[in-house]
Amino acid sequence: MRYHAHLADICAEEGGTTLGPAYASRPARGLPLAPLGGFVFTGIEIEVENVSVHELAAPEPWSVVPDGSLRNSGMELLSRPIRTLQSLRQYCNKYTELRHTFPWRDSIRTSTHVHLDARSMRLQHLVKLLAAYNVVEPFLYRHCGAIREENIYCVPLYRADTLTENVVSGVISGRFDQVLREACKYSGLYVGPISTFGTVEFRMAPSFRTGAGVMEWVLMLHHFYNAALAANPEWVHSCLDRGEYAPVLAQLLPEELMRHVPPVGELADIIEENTCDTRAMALYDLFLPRRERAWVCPEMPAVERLTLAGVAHERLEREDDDDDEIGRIENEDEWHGPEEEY
Amino acid sequence: MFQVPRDDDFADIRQWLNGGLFCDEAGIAYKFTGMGEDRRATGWPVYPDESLAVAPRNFRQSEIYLHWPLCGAVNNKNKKFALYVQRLPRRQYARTFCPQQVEVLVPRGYEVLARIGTRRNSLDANSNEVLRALFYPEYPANYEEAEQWLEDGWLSVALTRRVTLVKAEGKLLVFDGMTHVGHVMHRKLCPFTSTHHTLKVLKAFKGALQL
Repeated sequence: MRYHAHLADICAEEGGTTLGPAYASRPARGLPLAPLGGFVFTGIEIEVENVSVHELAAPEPWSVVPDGSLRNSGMELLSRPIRTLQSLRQYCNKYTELRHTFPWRDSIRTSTHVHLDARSMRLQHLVKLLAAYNVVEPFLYRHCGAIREENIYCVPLYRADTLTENVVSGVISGRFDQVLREACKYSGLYVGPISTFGTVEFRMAPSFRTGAGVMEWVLMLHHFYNAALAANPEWVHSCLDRGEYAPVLAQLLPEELMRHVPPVGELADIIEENTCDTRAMALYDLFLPRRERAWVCPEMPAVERLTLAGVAHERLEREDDDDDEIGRIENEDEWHGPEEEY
Repeated sequence: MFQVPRDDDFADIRQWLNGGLFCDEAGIAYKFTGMGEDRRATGWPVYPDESLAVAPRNFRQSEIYLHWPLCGAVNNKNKKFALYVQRLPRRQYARTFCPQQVEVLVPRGYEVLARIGTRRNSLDANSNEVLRALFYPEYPANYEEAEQWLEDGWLSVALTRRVTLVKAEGKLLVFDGMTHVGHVMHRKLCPFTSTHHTLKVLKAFKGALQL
């Protein structure tokens, strides 16, 4: 198998650059690098309006900060890095309790942002996550509601995407730090926090009205996160290339989100009209060996390859006493144009 | 499309609509031009039909809807060629569609634009013809209709938000977004790639093409 030199990190089974130590400038203190799989460390931010910071006397375990971008005394509830399911449940129960106590409101201005730990990821895991995210993104937005799709603070990649292209070129050129710098904050999935906290941020959810809603959303993201990292890129790539989307989604999405997935015909329309397949394949393509990355349609008639040796032979026949440089090629059969390098 | 929140004050709304477009309840797009003394927003309509008379209209807060249309390949009926409108993911202050946030591209642009004598820079996303194409997109229903458009003088036709046919080199070039993925010659499709979607779209425009 021949890979591009900079893709070694992508394709190697072991080793390679770990994102946390390489890029995170302000990771949470005392938080160990946890292995991938299982419950990854999670951070939650929930924006609410119509309540001031001073009114919330004891929001523990949440902490609160005012947020000037919101209206009517808007503020943000912040969690510490959540390490266990039990801890997540405590946060969500407290959220429900606070919600019953204070008349705060959600609106189109408020949202829930979930940070998932990416410090233990290697580049290949992040590319896998982004590729899988491209496939499932419309269905995550369906869960969050139609208004979120048009919200300018969490624009889906299928509506405005330069991230995919940047990641592909960043991986090939080996300049991944530039990808993190150029990532747009107001995207549904924001990878910029990798360079600060060492997390990826899912921004598309609205402010949920109950703790159960928060819990369900976080667990859905956990399921997707782990499934995306476990997915076999070659299998997903071949499914997408054949237009078989249902098995891919069944693997990546939890059951709760599968209810948003329509029947096969409509599903294909959603994925293809939103270019989800193409963008995901561009990323999964990085995992494939070079010989499979040259897509040639089997129906295409074979084109005879024009080689310099052939041209030289023709010219030599035409011009017997030719003395130019083509005539000096000695071993014509062994040379067929410049070697491609990858 | 969603309504402006009722608890936002007019100073905010002025800021959010500034430089952008909003819609009325029926989905007609309006270019925001300012706030009147009666605290109403004034908008110049961009109607789907070019022949309709255009006059400014005032809107109460409850009548304003925010909308970001889906971008992609659309047909410019005025100049008879296809555009590819790409949304740019960057921070914006207007909360609705904002022409500065999109890039207007043309598949096989150097040839198409030269033929109609238009410069690349003149494709302003704030022009009525581009806005009309974007807010009220129209596509041919089948391949025969697309061919009919091309016979009627169109230089390129968008079949869907992704796929465009461009008339060039004595054949029809097929573009997926801005990528040249194959061509159609004598109603025979010769794809360069095995991209499933492109093949499927072109098969769906049935009755004409062989693979």
